Amino acid sequence: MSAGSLRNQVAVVGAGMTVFGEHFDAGLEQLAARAYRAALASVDRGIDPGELQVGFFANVMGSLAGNEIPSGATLANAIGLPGLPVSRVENGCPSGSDAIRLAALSVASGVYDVAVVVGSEKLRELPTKQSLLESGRVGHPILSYANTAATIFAPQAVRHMHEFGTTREQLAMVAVKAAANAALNDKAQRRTPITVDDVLASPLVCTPFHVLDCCPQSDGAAAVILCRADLAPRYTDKPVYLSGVGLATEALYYHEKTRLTGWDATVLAAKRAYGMAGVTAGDIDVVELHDCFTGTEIITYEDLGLCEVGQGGKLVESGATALDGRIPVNPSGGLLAKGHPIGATGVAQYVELFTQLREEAGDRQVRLRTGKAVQHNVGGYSVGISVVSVLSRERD
Amino acid sequence: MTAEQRPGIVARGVYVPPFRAGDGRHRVSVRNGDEDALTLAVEAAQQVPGLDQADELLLALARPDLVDGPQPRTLRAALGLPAALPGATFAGDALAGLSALTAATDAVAAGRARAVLMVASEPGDGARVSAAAVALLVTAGSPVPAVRVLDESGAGDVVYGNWVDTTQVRHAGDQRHLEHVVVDLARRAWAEHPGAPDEVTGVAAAVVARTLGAGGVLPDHGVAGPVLALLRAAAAPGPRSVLAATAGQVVAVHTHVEPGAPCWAPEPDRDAGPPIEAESSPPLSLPTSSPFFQRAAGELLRLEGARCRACGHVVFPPSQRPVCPGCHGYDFDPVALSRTGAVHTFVLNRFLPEGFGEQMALVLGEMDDGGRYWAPTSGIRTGELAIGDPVALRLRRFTAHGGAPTYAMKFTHREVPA
Repeated sequence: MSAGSLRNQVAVVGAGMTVFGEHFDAGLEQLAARAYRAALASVDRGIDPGELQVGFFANVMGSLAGNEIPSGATLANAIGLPGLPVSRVENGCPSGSDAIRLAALSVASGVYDVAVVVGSEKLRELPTKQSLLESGRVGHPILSYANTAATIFAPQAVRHMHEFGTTREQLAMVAVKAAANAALNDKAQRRTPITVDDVLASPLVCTPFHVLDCCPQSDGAAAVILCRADLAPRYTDKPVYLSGVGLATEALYYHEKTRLTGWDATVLAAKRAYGMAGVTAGDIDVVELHDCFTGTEIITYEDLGLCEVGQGGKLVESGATALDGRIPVNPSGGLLAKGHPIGATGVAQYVELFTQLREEAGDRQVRLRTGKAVQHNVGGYSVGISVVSVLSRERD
Repeated sequence: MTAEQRPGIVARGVYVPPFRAGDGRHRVSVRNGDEDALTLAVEAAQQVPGLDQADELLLALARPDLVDGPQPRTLRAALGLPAALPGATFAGDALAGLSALTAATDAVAAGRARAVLMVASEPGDGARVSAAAVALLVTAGSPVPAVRVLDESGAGDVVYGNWVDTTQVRHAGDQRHLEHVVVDLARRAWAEHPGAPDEVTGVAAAVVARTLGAGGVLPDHGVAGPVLALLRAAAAPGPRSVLAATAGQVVAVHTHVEPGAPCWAPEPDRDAGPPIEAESSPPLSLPTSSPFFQRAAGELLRLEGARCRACGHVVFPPSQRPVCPGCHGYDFDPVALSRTGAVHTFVLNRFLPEGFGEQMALVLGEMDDGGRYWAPTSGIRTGELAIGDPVALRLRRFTAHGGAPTYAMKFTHREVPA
C-alpha cells in the first residue's frame, strides 16, 4: 500500500482569472487565453511559455458553446501551444479542482516540472433554460426526470431545516455575506450588497431556494501554474504549497445516499486532504467552499468540520464565517456572488487562496494565523464527487 | 356441466380516479393528466387476487388510436406477467369490454385457457363519459364463489349519433330521437326475458331504465361501464341481468351470482375535485423507443430491485448496479421494492427545463422496506406535502413525446384502507 503524499512536493507559483459574468464578447478559447495570460503575468520572476511541460483543461459544458467538442487540443490551441500534452478534465462541478489535482500528481510523479491548469466555461452562450438547466435532462430519463441544479441541492437543505431547525433567514445570511465580500472583488459577477429581506423577496426557484439563494450562471476562466516545490524559488519568493488534496466519490442517486443532511464525499475528501496535510479543521485560516446554493454552504461547514453537525446555520448567523470572523469563508464572494463558470470554479478558488495566502487580497484580505487554507468543490449530476485541498504558505 | 365447471368471474379489481368534473347533474370521474388507459388498467388489474394464475390477457380499450401501441406488452411488464402470455386487444365501442368478457368465458369453456385476466379501461372524455378501469379473473372449476355468465341477447341497428362530414362540420343528432332509437333497441334486446334488468348503463341509460323499470342506472363509464354494471348487479346473489347500450346496439347479459361472489359498489361521495397535473409530454434524455426502456422495464414498470445473494443488500436500479457495494458480490435475485412509505424530504421546483411545465414537486420517500425512492408526485396539491406524510408509489405516465408513452412510478397520497 502506497503511503504516497503530495505534501510539500508541489507549489503554486502563478494564478489568474477573468472577470466572471456575461462575456458576450469572448468565446471559450478567448476566456481561456485571458486567464492564462493573467496567470503567466502573476509569476513574480516571470515564466516563458516554453517552460510549461504539461497542461490540464477543465471544461464541462463546452459542447454547448458552438465550438468543436472540447479536448486537450482546444486548450493547447487557445494558448498558442499546439504540441503541448494536454488532457481535458470533465468531472462535474469539481472539474477544475480535479484538473489541479491531476496536474499536481503529474508533477509529483517526477515526469513534469511545470504544469499549467486552465478552467474555462461559457454558460451564457444559450438561454438559461437551454444551458445549465438542460443538463438535468441528460441523466437517467426517469430517476433524474425534471431534475435541475437546484433539485440536486435543495432536498438536503429542506431536510437540514427539518432535522436541525436551520432557518430560512440563516440561509439568506449566506447570500448576504457572499454579496458583501464580492463587493470588494473586482472579478465578481454580483457586486451589489443585499439584505436578508432582498433574498426572501426574490422569486422562488425551488423550495427552499429563492433566486438570490442560487449562484448565477457565468462565463469565465481561471488558470494556475504549478511546479515542483524545489523549483518554486526560480519563479517567486512567495509560492503557495499544496499540502494535501483529497477526491472522493459517493453513492449517486438520492435513494442510495446514507443521509440527506450532508455529503459523505466531502467528509471523506476532507479526511484525505487533512490527513495528507497533517492538519485539523481548527488549523485553517480561510476557506473557499462550493456555495452553489446557500444551503450547500451551511451543510458544507459541517462536512468540513468547521462546526458540529447541525450547527451550520448558527455558524453563519454568529458572523464567524464573515471576512472578519473566526474562520472566514468565501472571501472572494464564492459561487453565489463571484459566479460559477463550472470548469473554472475550482481553479478560481485556488486563485483566491493564492492571493489570500500571499496577503495580496487588498480590502478583502483575511487575517492569517497559521497560513493554511482549505478549498472545496463538489458536484456531479447527482452530487457524487467532492474535492478538498489544503494550501499553505509554508513548506513545512 | 356443473356450476363449478362453468366459467365464472372469481376475482375483480376496479379503479375509478378520484377526480371529478362537470356540474352537479353531470358529474363525471376524470383521470389526472398523467393517467391514461394503460395506467388505469394497471391500477385495476393489480387489485385482482391471484392474477399471476392468468394464462391469457384480454385488454379492452375505448379508442382505437391506442390499440397499435405497446399497451399489452407494457401491461404485462407492469403486472409481472410473462412476456410470452398470449392475449388480444378489443376496441371499437363501449361494448368492447363485454366482447372481451365473452371471449374470456369462451376461452375457458373451450379449455384453451385455464384462467383469463381481462381488463377494460376507459380514460373518459371529461364531460359525459367517466374514467374507470375494471379487471376480472375468469376461470372454471374453482370452488371460489363466482359470477357465472349464462346468456347474452342483443339488438342493433345503424349507429345513431354525432358524425363529421367531409368538410369537417360536426353534425349533432337530436337527443330525444336518439333516446327513442335506443329505447326501441333495448326493448328488442330484452324481449325474450321476464321482469326488468337489474342495472342499465351506457347511452340513454336513464330513459331505458325508466321504460323497462330497471333497478339501477350506472352512468356512462365507456368501455368499462357494462362490466362495472355486471359487478354492481352482483351485489345481490341469484339471477342478475344487465343492459348496456351504445348509440347503435344494446346488449342484455344474464348472470347467476353465487353468494360471496365478486361485486362492486360505487363511492358516490368520493370527490377530489379537478385533476392536479396537466397533460404534458416533455422530451426525455432517451426516447421511449430506445432499447434502454426495454432493458429497464422491470425496474421502471414494476419497481424491481436486486438482492445480493451473498449479503442481502438491495440495489436499484439493477441495470446500473451490477456489483454489490456491500460485499462486492455479482449475483443477485429480483426483489419487489416497497411501494408505501413516508416523505423523507421533498422540493417544489418552480423553474423547470423546457416542456416540464410550470412547477413540479419531487419527493424522496422513506419506504416501508427501509429503502428510499425519488420521484415526482401525482395528484397531490401544492401545499399538501410535508415531511412524514404517508405516500404510495403508483405507475403514471411521464411523457408521450415521440410516440409510445413512457411510464414509471410517482408518489401519490397513500389512502388509508377502509
